[in-house]
Amino acid sequence: MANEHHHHDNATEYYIEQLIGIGISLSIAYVCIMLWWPFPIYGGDGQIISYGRKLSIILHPKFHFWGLTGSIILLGFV
Amino acid sequence: MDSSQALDKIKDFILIFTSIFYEALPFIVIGSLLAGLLEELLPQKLIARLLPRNRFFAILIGGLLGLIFPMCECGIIPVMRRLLRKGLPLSCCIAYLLAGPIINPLVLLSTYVAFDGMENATENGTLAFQMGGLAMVLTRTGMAYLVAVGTSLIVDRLYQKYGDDLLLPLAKPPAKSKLSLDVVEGEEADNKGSMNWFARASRISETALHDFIDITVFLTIGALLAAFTRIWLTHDAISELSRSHIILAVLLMMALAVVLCLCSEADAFVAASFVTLRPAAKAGFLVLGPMLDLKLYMMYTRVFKPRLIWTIIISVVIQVFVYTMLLHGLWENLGPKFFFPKTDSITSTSR
Repeated sequence: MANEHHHHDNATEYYIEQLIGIGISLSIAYVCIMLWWPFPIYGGDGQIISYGRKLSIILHPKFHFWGLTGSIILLGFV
Repeated sequence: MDSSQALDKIKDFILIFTSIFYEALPFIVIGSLLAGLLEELLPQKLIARLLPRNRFFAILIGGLLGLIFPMCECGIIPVMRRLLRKGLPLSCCIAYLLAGPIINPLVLLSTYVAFDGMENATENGTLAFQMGGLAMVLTRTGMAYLVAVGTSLIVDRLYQKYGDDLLLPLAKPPAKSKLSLDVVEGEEADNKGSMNWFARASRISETALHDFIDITVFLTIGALLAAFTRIWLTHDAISELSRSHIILAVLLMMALAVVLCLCSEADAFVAASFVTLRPAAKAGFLVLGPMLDLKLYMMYTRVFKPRLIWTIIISVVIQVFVYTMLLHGLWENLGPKFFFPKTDSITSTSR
């Protein structure tokens, strides 16, 4: 953090903390993007009949845009 | 409970936890980004210059800051913490924290949309005298503002006694005196003047990432608690209990607001789904939820000391209950007369 990383006496501790933060954020953003990513839904004849999103299982569609936006911004932080 | 029921409960638990987590997540990310921008770009002196010197007027303005920094209750925590560090008085921050998630354009719009047409709702074939979109927006805004200002005034008194000891170290302003403020400003200006845009962006993202991780840990714990509680509360049980008595209905809806942990941008749709519940109980739910719930409690613990947290909780709960009961008395006695003067001519349509 801009104003607080001066407080870390140990540089290794600081970098480990940064790496863990980056790893957690990356994982959260990756999972959310994968949940948002459209997947094909096949009909009986093997043809694609439509696309769905796994995010629909847990969130109302009006939150999908926010979920994706938040994940992209989070990737930006990373 | 057999193994298939237990498995269903576990699935429901995971589903509810992930839905709360991913619903709140983008707003925490945006809040963290805004916090990073505030930390890097907002000069400390600017806030001091913009706010009125009179603390009461400063609190009144703090309650309306949500119109400038529109955030839901999850995103507002990192923003508020940065504003505290930038020297915004604690009482103004509390007014922003409590009123901001309600008095902002997005939430007012979603409330209007959720309740629009509700005035025509019927119960057993007769008009249910429910609040429509505009009435609910005005009620929610007015109640939230009163509760926020009232709590901020109490916090202001508390601050005069305990000062910055009410805050955790991460939320404390770095310098209090004008002299030290000038020094900090001078150092900031010197540092920032020589920084290129990449270094500045790097500092913003570093601050934002730190705030995001810090708050998300407590969002996770809050979401776990909320998911555990929601597993045992069914919609049928709530509807049945809410019909029994208005005091019980109000208390139940307030308890639900704490337990459900809904985003202030979505809670109006949940409240509106309780079609026959009295409007005052819905208003209590809509005002309390964005100010206090399980995940927010956990996030408060990253900014405030317990004394301040419990002062806020007690003040908010008591005020919301009192205002809700007052609203119930007013609406049930005067609402039909003023808002539904031509009841017979209204074409009732069930929602």
